[in-house]
Amino acid sequence: MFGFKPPFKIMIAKVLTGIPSLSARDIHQRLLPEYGSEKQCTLESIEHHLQAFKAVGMVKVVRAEMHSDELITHYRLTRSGAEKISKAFPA
Amino acid sequence: MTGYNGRGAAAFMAKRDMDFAKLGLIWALMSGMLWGLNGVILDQGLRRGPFEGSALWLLAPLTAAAMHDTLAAFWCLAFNGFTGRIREIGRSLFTRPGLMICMGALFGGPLGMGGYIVGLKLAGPAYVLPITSLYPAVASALAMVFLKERIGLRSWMGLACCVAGAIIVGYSPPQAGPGGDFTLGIGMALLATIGWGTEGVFCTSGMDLLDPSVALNIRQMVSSTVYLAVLLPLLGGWFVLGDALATPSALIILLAAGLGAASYMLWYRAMNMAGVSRAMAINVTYALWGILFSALFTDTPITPSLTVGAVVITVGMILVVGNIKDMTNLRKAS
Repeated sequence: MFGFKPPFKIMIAKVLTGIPSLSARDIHQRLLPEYGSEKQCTLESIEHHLQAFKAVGMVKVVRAEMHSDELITHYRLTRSGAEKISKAFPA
Repeated sequence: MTGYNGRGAAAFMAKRDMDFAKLGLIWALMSGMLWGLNGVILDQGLRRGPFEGSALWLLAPLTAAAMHDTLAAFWCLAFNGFTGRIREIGRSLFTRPGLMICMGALFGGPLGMGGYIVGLKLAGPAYVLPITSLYPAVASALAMVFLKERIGLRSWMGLACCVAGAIIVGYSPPQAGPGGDFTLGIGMALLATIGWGTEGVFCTSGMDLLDPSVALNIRQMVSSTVYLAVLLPLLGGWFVLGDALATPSALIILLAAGLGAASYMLWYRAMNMAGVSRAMAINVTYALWGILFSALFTDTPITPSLTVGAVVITVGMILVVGNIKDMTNLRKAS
């Protein structure tokens, strides 16, 4: 509304819509063109929001792997997550 | 199905989930501590002009609440500006989750606080404090129904202990028999309890999709707008606000608002990370912290009821926290 971009946290979930799975790093890359100039657009904050989504059942982990001591987690939107996103931010 | 590749990926992920849940509990505890300290400082502001005196029994605390929420909104703005989230406020305000936060603000701010203040005057603290201490139970019941939050028997028992402890700590015997407006006062206390409980559920639902710091900023802005633009003009309270701004009370409330904003921010984060029921049960320990800080900074004595209340609250918190592994999935799958 009023030409605003969607809120950052909503966009993190929205990026996952219709995609088998993405890691926090993939999401960061996709959000960089639109939110890259903002201090909040960091890998850490995306990881934190994904953890919060996971705790309330909006996303689930489909794959996790270690890459040189770094945990790379791949997330998928759950059905309830997708419903919530479509209600909050209709396409 | 979840796939784990590489040595220790599953263990690493389990540890990360546990750390996230533990952090939520730590935020909830810190939010209770800061809210307790906030109450002690706010009380110092209310004991000075223009808030002192029984003639302003309704206007003084409502004006202080208006000042508190308005200044807290500015503290939040400063925080969000510093952390690069200021543009998120406009983006979030007119979304569906943003409107949930606005509803939460109305329930928790003017309805919750207004009901509490009027209830205190009409029915007295001996009745109103125990009733309003029940707000975490109301919130938990609502969270179970509307957010599908998992709350086991142990958590309910812990919640009951936390509420009972808060009642023991805050209870003071009635000074006089119930007056003519007593029933209305009890009704207002119930309204406050429902208001605060509902705030938690509305705001947690909104925070599923909004950053807690942004959600809190919206909450404080909506609440202060209703106080300043609706309640104070209706009750003729602007003159108290004008007088208060020119006194040392304003600086005390500014400090209390800073602590209040920090406490609320941690509380909102905790509800988002650890669930409504756990965050509220631990947050209600503010009753204990408030008296401990009063004993530390003022001449309030440590009484046997405080000690008993502290033990009951501690037992309650242990029960509520329970098995932290349960906190990695807060809600039932739909």
